[in-house]
Amino acid sequence: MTDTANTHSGALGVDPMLTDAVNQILGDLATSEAVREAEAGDGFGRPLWDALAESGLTGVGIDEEAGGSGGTIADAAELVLQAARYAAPVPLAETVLLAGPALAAAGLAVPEGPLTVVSEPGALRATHDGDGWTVTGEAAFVPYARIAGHIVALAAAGGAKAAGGAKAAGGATAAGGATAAGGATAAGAGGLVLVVLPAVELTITPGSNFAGEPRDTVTAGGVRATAAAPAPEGWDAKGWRLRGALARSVQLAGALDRVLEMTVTHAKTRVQFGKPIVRFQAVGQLVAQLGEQVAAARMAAETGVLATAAGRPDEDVPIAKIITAEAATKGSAIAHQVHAAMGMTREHDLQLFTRRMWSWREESGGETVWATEFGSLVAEAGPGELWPLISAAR
Amino acid sequence: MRFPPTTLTPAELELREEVRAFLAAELGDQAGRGVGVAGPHNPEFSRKLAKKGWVGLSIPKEYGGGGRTAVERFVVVEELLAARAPVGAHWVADRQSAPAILKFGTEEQRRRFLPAIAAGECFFAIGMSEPDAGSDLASVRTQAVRDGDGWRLSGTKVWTSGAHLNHFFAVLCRTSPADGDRHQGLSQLLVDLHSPGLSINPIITLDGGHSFNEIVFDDVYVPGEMLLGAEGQGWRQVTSELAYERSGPDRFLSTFGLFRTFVEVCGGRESDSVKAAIGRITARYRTLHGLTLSVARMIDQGGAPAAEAALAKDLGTNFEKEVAEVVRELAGLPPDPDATDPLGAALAAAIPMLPSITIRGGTTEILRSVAARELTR
Repeated sequence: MTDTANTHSGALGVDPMLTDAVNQILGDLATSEAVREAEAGDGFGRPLWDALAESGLTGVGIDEEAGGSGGTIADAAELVLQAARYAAPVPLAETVLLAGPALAAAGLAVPEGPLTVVSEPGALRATHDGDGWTVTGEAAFVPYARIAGHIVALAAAGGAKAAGGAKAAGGATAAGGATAAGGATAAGAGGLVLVVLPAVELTITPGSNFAGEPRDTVTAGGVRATAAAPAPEGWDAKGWRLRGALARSVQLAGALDRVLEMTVTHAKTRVQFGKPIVRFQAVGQLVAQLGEQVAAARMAAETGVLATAAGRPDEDVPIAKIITAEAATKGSAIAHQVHAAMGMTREHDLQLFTRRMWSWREESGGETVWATEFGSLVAEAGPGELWPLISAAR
Repeated sequence: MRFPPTTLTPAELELREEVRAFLAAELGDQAGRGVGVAGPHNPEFSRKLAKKGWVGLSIPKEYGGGGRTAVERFVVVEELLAARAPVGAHWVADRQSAPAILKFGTEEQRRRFLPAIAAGECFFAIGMSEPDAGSDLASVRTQAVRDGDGWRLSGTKVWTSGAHLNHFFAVLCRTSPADGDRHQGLSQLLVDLHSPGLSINPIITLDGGHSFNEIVFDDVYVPGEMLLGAEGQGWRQVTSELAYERSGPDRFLSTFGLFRTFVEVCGGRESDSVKAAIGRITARYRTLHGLTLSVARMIDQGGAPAAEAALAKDLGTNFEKEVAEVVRELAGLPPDPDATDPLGAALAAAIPMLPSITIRGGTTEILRSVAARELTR
């Protein structure tokens, strides 16, 4: 793919040098050939990951004390957005927006290497048995589990010891409880405990999403967590789901941005009836509508990032997922219409992005899931609160 | 094309709270009801707002205005529209005539019109469209010929909202032959709507209402000092005026009153489809709020976001129609102007105006052409 650095950044207030740095690596190592190669193989672009890791980019947005490279969630989101513009076959979103910052928030060390998360809170169960947590259960659709060194989950705490102990699972006193790695004896809010599982001890059954990205089934038959802590503040079940939705929203916005760029290029270079098709008004109007969807998606995703940074994700992140998923639906349809038959082939790069968008829009909750949940909040607040809610500052 | 997200500063938030409190006191529980692009025509309310300093907010202080930014004006206007305040009288003057006069007018014109606009005493209409010049504005035929120091105007303007209630309008007319380039030889004249020889004929809209007018100039004398900007520069001036006309919150809030009524009447229903619709629509309102606010911030930072404004208007106006359609489908009520139930009445008010939303201020097709040109530059 062409190097597209970079008129596409800046809105999140991120240092342009960071954007340039990641684009340089992506331009070299996330070529469409590399993406296809990964898809044909184990789904993982190892040379790309290694280059990102060597530059410290896989630790961005993760506190230095926890082993990360520092920086903000906006920095991390910018990397994820840029990576999505290349359909990069690496668990960057899972590492820098989910697993890494969750561990850092809990005061746990962030292990080296690619990380991933179980997206559904409580899908696995954790039992405390004296000096640590033992995890059992099965979780489906875990991104990149097969190549991740560690899998991070918010497990449902249970078991005699934990329930009967002084700091009972789900108990009010738990939140501020033990934090040392591997030494947590209590669960956080909702009886959830953050656990780090070594991938080598799990049974991993390969699977993939619609776009050929690894989405594996993970089975834990009494696996010892290498570290554990009560679910930290902001990372309860709701916070965990919100963060997953934010990650996919940012990826959708990035992919859409790239699809617009590809569509503009195609419309300007494809000649029919003796002129570039962009000169036909009907085509120009399609491009404009795609531009509208991209503008809405980027606004919603970036607002979701800034709201999360401000500690108030409850409204803007559901909005981000609703809007980016809608934009993915409308935007991919328009892009394919403009590319016509050529865009329907495996050979064309468009499908690298549209197949991802068709997967990501449902992952971590599709637009109807989030719209129903968010709409309930809005309806409950009532008509008098409607305008203040729409115009709310982050 | 980028729309950087922006937040309101503490001072802007404070202004918003002030406007919100004022409107709650003024409008009571009528706030937020009804539909339409601007609010009803109410000179008394306009003057009350002017006393608070909220008309002509972005006119410099030396001309009697508030000397505030585009974002501050955005904040005030958004509150007024969301509350469906009766801002119709000063709407056009505040939105586009004042900025045009400030930008292109003579010192004398500024002194004459801007303080009066800011005081809520001088109301404007728009003088662009003609029977044969709609989207193709450069084909206007209204002609001004020299008469001593002044001009003699003949021709016809149409779709002039509020001409029967307002004081002046800026008339786009031909002052010299096209000579090959239709964009040359056009000028803008500030014309008194009460001038001798000028007749105003109502155009009744399909809902039976009267807002539109046809205006016929029969050899109307316009004094020379009423030329706005440079002779022959009318096209450039009108294009710049359109950016103001397209970028505001009026382009996504015209059916907000209907949605608010829907939430009020149907929000308590145990229905996932109602909840999902409320969630989706609210999400899109907030995103459009973000996009249009971003355009206002770009203007304050010295940008000329004409294509961005066109794109946001197209997204916003199509959304306004979609809101009404979703509400209609879920409400399952016949639209009834005499309905005592608020939702049936709001639907009856909204449905006949919906087609106009994506026509006025630039049709969907024109806006998409503007946006496409920028995107494929």
